[in-house]
Amino acid sequence: MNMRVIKIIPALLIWILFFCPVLQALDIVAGLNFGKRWIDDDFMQDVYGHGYIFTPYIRYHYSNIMAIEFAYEGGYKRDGRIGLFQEDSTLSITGWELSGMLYYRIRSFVPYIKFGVGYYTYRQDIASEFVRYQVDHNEITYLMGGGLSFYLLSNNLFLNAEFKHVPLKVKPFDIEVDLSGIRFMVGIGYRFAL
Amino acid sequence: MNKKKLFKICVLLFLMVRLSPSAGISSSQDKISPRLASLIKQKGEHHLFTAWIFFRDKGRDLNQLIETESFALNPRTLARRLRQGGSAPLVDAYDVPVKAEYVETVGKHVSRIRHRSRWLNAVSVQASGRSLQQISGLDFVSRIDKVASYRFCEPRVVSNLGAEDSITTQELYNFDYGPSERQVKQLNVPSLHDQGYSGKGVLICMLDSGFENLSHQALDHLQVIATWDFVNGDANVFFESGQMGLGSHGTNTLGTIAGYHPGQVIGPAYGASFILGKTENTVWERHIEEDHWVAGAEWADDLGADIISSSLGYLDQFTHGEADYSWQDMDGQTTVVTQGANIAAAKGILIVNSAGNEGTSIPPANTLIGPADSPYVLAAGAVYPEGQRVGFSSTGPTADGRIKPDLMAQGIFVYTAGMNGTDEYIYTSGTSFSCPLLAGVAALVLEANPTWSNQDIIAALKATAGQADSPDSFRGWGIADAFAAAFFPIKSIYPPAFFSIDRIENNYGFFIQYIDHLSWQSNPRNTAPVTSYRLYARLLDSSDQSFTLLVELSGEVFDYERRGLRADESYLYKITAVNAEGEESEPDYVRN
Repeated sequence: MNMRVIKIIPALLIWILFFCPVLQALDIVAGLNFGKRWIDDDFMQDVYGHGYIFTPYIRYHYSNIMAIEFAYEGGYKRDGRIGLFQEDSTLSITGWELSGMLYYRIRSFVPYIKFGVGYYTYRQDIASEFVRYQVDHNEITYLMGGGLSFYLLSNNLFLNAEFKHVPLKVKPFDIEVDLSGIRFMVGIGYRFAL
Repeated sequence: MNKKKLFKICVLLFLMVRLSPSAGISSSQDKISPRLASLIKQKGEHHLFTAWIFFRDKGRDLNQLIETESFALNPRTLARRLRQGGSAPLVDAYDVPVKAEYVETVGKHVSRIRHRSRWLNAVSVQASGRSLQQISGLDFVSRIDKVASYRFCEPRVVSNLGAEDSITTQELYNFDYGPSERQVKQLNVPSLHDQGYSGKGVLICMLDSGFENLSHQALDHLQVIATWDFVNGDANVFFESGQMGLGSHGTNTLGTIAGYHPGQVIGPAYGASFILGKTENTVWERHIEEDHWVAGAEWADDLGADIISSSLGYLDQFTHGEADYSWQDMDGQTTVVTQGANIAAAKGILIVNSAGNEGTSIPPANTLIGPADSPYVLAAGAVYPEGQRVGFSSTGPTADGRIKPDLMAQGIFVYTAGMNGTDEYIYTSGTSFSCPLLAGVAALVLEANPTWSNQDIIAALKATAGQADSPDSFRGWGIADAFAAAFFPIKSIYPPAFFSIDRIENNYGFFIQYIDHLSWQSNPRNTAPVTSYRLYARLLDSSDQSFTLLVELSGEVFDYERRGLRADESYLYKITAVNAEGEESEPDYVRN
């Protein structure tokens, strides 16, 4: 991802959060999503397949239409047999995400879109004495997504559905691997009014 | 369904498949190689093609035929084969001629039968595409393929200026080598000449273009036992008006190996006997077909030749722009001419072939020419009188990782007999001339060690050459040393045969590691059992030139996989065989 874009996004978020004159803190939302993560790379898909993830998050609604979200994505840890000798291996991908959100409340429904940056860690462990490379690397990239919160049960408790796409192309060694993929998650959250 | 009904259905299905006309057509069509089939499609059924027709067998009473052949063996041939030792029979199916009835039947369909090859169990023919398709339907025909084209290594045109300037002063040898001194001195030949060795008693077969001007003052001493023109089908190897094939190249190579005129030229094997085979057509844009070469090698075997010196060269795109073989086919077993050379070597003939004048390529690609890729053929590369490799000299490794060329000899400013007049001498260049120089050296070593096999001679030459401890794909084992090789103590255990390598990719997703799969075969010359094989490795492009013992494997094991290699790691591997007494053979090498 372009480093300039990576630098601008957090700066914009900080400006919105602390310096935008129209801002007024409204509430904080915490929740947990659970869903599926797809892997775009054909080779990795064949070996490890798509997987399940979970995402705890905190959203700070600081205006009637804007929020900032801090989230963790974990749970993608897949086993697969790799290479000519079909050796046992594990691929895990985790990430920390910071996003700006635009949302709009229509009665019990709160549709939103978000755009942010993520700091992802990917690690491959291969059970082979012959492997001479260690894949344990980090990558910063942007992300985008959208979803819908539905305040079904009360004014504070809501159900959430979200999709997200993270373009994550990495090249720790000679081969570029596309770890990008769509995520689709559902979950539950709670709003704490301030 | 009851068993009876099931049986009936099976019989019916079998008959349907067996009697179906399309089934018969497809199987006979499959006999024609894809490259020949594509050529027929491209040029039409009525075009004339030169093709190999391979036969399924040599007849039912093969053992009886082998026995008959063993009585007909030339005593020289028998003596040479006896030197091979080992467990291989002296006469085998390769010695049995092609079945006459098969040839006769094929002859009815073709314009001309060019050669019969008992080694390949095939005939080369000239026939239309339509005839070849008809022949493919014959039961006894196993395969039909195109006869590939080659060219000999044309002499490089170089200025003679400078060559004369750099002539070294005559040293204290018994002979006055004149301007040819550098080319033989570099190989330490004069030291053997001084001891009385001249190749006497050794029969050398020269396969080349015509041999014009044998009355040259440097050639008129030669004992020429036989001649044959495989291009025109007669015994005349000189230039003949109306026939194909000039003679300067053959004259030049013959002058290099065996010229004798003190003060001008003295070749390494000036005392050897010769048979001269014209296998190259220098009129047809200097292209020849591989069947002439194979026929020449079989002829050499019949007459009991000890050594073949050939300056053939492979060409990618020949006269008609048809691709024959690629560098990947230079794996020691694919091209027909290499298959022929392998059989000739198994019969005990020492083959020295030019490595080629095709220059350098980036490994693993090579610029070798068949049959220089054979593991049993000595591939001759060219060096300057000062010892550096000449830029045009072809490089290895072979497609299966073996180191080539094998040995180097002077290949530039080589002084030899010319074609015009009895006292004309020329300077010429090319691996074509390194080849007869090394063949001459081999003849001296054989004269000094008349019980040695072809592989003994190669082993001695390699073990005593200039860079024997660290061979590479540019200069092989280095410049040969005739004197040291002639007195080299040959061991009673031989290295494994056909040591080769295959580098395999192992993709782990984020990165690729490599596996070097090394394989070898048991050497039939080892009469005592091999107890173990020792495999060594040395990282190329490393300052540390020493080999590390990787593994010692049982004598029953013939391959080894070395895993976990990175792309930037190239290794030179060395293998030796060890017998019960702990004696370790000379090494053989491959590189990835």
